[in-house]
Amino acid sequence: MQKWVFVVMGAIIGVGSVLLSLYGNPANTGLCISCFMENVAGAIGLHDNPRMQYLRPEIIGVVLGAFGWSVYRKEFLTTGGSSPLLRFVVGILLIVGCSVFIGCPVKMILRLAAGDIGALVGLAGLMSGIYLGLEFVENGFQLGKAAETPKASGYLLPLFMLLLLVLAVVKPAFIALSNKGGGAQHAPFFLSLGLGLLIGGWSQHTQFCITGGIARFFLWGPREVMNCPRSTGLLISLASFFGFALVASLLTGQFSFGLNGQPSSNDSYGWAFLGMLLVGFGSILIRGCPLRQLVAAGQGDTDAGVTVMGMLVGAALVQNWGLAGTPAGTPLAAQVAVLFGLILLLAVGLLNRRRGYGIAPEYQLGLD
Amino acid sequence: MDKLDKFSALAICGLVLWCLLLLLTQPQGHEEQRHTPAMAGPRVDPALEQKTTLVKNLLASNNIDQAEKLLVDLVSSYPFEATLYFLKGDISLYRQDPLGAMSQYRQAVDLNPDFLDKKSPLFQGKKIKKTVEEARLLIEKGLAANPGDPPTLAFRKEYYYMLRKIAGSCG
Repeated sequence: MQKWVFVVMGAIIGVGSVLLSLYGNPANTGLCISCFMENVAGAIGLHDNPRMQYLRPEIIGVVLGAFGWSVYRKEFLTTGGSSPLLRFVVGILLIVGCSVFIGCPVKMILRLAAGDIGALVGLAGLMSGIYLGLEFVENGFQLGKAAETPKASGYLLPLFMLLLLVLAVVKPAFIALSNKGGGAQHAPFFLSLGLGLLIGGWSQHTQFCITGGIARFFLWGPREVMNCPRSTGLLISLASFFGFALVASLLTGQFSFGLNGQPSSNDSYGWAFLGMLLVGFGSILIRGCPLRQLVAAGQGDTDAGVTVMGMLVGAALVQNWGLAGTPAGTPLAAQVAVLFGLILLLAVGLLNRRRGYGIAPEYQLGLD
Repeated sequence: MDKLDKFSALAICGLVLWCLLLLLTQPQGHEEQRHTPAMAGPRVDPALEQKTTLVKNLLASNNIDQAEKLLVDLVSSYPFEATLYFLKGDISLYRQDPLGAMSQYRQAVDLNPDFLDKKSPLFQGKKIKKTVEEARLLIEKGLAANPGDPPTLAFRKEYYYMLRKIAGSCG
């Protein structure tokens, strides 16, 4: 695959996200998987925070875009059976970790591109979590190899998203819609949907993954990674994403350099670090960041589909149990949730390792 | 057990202890939190509405002392009513005390974020932003004269919090 494809990937997600913020999404939140999953969970009645209820077309678009593109390119393949219940639980933990940081890895890059230097703490946490996860992966951690499964299960998540799309258009009474707060701040529906489809399709095409890109850097080091086309591509996408988002932020007046007074931030830097450490660690164990899980679910990976369902449940729990970071700081429940999440992942790592072995076959896929 | 196993086991023990420490040392307030009116949803009390309107009228006609007296009584009866704190902030502004006003506005916003929500009829973003800016000038002046002054540092922390609230969040 030529390098320009990866540059375009970064441009689409970088410029697209900043435009979504400009046209109505919350500040520095043009695209945020965790925040938007919380909105979707609220809209379908999984929580009752009146400020966080909206069927985000971006989430729907990412899955359907990935589905459509994978079908078009005949890459749609229904697979599953690789510790789905565990992935469900890790999906919950990913959202918990993101909520403590007040953003997913995509939003982390958007915050950095908007001048929020506090997000560097999140980046440090994410990279530390990735490094920790890789230690387990390189030392025999395994979730079992996924196998081809009956086609019907692969279509379920795209169908679910299609249902959500219909509900978002028809707006029946049982779908909650915020008229204030973050849930009421949204870009025009078709702009959001269109960009979601584009991001989903292109992410499927390039196998874009933030944690995956950083992980390859750790696996092979800076010199070797440049010899691997896929790794180079992922890093190009990341750099392009940041670069284009930075320029777009500057041009649209959304750039504000500094530590204090940034949107979607607090001064609980320690917990932000740990929250993203949880996200990085979990993402490596299940082979993909939250965005990657949505894309993989769209292309038929039912394990990723189960993870997405876990993310939805996690989004609901975050709101119902008060596990999210706030501008005032990180509540006690969120602190305990992050520590518990880390304990769980370490225990899973401890129990799921084949000692004396290297990288398990399911993690070697794509490590060209 | 290899190195990674030992690290994992130690990390798990450390995290469990940290968790227990957090749970045992944090102040318990679960029952109070469970029954905080803010979580129960908005309430409309006609008597409160009437008295609040009276306070606003007193402020408009420059009867600051009377308005303040009435507000003190109202706050003791309705401690979770955001509008009352907002009016207290207005009184502080009348008394040329932007720091006090910022603190009151903070309490109001904590109880009802609608004051900073552009889509809400209660939106008072411009007034709050202006007050916070005035407070910033005083804080900087205070810290320049006495860098380690604890009350001024506390106000500065509050100022940063208000900046974040004004900047907004996805929640």
